[in-house]
Amino acid sequence: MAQPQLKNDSPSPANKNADDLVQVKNLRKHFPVQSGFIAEMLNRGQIPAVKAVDGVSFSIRRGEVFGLAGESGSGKSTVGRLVLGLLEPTDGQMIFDGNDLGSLKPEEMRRLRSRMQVIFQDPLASLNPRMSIGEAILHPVKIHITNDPREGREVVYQILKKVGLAPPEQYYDKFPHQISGGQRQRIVIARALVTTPDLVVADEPIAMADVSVRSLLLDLMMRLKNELNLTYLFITHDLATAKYICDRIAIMYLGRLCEIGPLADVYEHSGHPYTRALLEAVPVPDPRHRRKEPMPAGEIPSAINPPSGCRFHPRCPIAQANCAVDEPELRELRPGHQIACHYAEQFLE
Amino acid sequence: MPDDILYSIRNLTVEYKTRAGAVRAVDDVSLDIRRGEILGLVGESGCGKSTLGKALMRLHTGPASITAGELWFDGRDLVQLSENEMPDIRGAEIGMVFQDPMTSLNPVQRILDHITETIKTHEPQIELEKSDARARARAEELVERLGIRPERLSDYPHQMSGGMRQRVMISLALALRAKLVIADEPTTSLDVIVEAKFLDLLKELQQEFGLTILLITHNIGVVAEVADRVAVMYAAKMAEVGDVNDVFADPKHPYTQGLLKSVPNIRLNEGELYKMGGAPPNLLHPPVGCRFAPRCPHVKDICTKVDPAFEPVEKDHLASCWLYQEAPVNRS
Repeated sequence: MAQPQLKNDSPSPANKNADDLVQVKNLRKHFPVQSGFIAEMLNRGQIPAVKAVDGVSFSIRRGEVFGLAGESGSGKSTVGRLVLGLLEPTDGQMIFDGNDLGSLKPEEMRRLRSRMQVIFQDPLASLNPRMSIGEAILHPVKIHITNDPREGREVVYQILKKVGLAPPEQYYDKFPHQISGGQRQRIVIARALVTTPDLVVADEPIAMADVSVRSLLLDLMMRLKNELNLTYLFITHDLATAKYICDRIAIMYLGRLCEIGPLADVYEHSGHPYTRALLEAVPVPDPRHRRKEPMPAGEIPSAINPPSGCRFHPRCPIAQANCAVDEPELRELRPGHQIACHYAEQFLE
Repeated sequence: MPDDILYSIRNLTVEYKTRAGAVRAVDDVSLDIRRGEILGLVGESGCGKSTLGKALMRLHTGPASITAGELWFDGRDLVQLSENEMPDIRGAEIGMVFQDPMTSLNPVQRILDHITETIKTHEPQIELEKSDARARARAEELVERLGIRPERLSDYPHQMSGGMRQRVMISLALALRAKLVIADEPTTSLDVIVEAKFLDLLKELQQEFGLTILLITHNIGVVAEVADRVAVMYAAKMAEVGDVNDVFADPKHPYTQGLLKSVPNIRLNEGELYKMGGAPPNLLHPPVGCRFAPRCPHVKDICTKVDPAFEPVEKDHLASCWLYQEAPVNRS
């Protein structure tokens, strides 16, 4: 396929051969909570904040599928937005291919954007209902690749074929409401990939699709990843699906990582009580299967005043007195597998 | 109707009138719900499972209407009842739990008022002076059983978590000792740990109160976890019904076979998921013959001509598929 070259050269990476495409260093994002004038006076200017992301570090290697999993409110989607530079972090660094996003000029950031793309959960909400499918995909093409209408159309046709919508002429002039949900998500994938990005942040990309459509979309995403040398940050609440595509996975709880490592190792030798509970809770499509361990008490607490020490301690079945005081750091307890629990060893014998 | 059957759906058809024509969202469906069971009703978006669930309470409105069939609930055909008689059934005898409890609960009404209002509306025989105290006592007892502290009764819905709101919805059904609870995607908006606890609660209520539950869901794992029997719908038709162990161990309908293979299973080590080709048909113009025929790996000549009957293929296990039926001899 004769793909026109990118119009602008992206900022050249400082360390081109480094293994890590993305490095996230001690990232924090606090959202101030709106409170009244008097409350603010009483708090003496201390505005309460939702600590959505509160000190998260990890790196994503070139060409891998990195899973980020957790329940609603864990902060996983906020991390995704921070990685894309769609949100400004309260603290910490986000380095993409050697470029620190915090220190880039707007013009440099704009050029970098073509190399990182996003796929959201709801394709209908991600597509402009009054823009035809062809126009929707042409939009990033015009910004990043070519202004020539004929060339542009050809680029769109190529990517439509790649995502399995052939013949592309049939789809180009259709509107989002005229196609099925699965096809819509293919359009969103096509639009994200048309600029041949390096990184794709996929935030629950298949959560809304039906079971039979899910396996097709997953297959498409994996095929395109290999074809186009992509790196995925795959954000999900679904640990069963993650198993089929992720190389490594990080588990998030209340703004912190509790466990990170190669997927098989995390699933088979999980050392954090929260990871263990999450894995145990996943419904298994086998009526003979019965859950063995009891579920943790209560529900995920507020991120405004997270529990002291280990954030999971009020619900943890193995918590000791010091868990309420000392916040556990991630410790490498198996090769490449880190766990933030003071008592993880008991699960790893 | 045999005594062990609480609800018998006979040849039900529900039609939506659209500008493009009539769409049969439920097409000649028959299904029995047995007393005290959890019956899982599964299928993909648009297969008609939610329309069926609503029709069981005659809750369909606007363009939808029941055009054929019978709904035998506890000895009465609900299709024959007048609209004035339905409120005594809805809520009192059949409770409903929807996917999104936030839109089912009144945002400006306290939880307590939701429950006491339900009790007082359906039990007007309680003397007025006493009714408040009695309804309150019952509400307290109820929510406590469901794992909500009675103090929380004075909360508004937005002050509760998603899991708690879903338990409040169940409490509304239990408050009147409903015989049947129709739960339409009750755990879809919940996180897995909360979901697991809610499913445990459903099982307990089934055993404690002899509750009958129709669990409508797209989540095959949820059905495997709690259901006693499972019904599979495809393109407005019933594809297969049977004991959950039988259907999962030995699915008969090729659609069920494909569906079960495409579900991710965290406990298995298979490398790839099964990919079912094609898409469900447009119900404005359903294909002639079996509706799954265009996607079916075992399709035969007869399949594209005549619709298979929904018949027993084994004891207590029904499927509508020509693989298990004698083709009719030269029926033109």
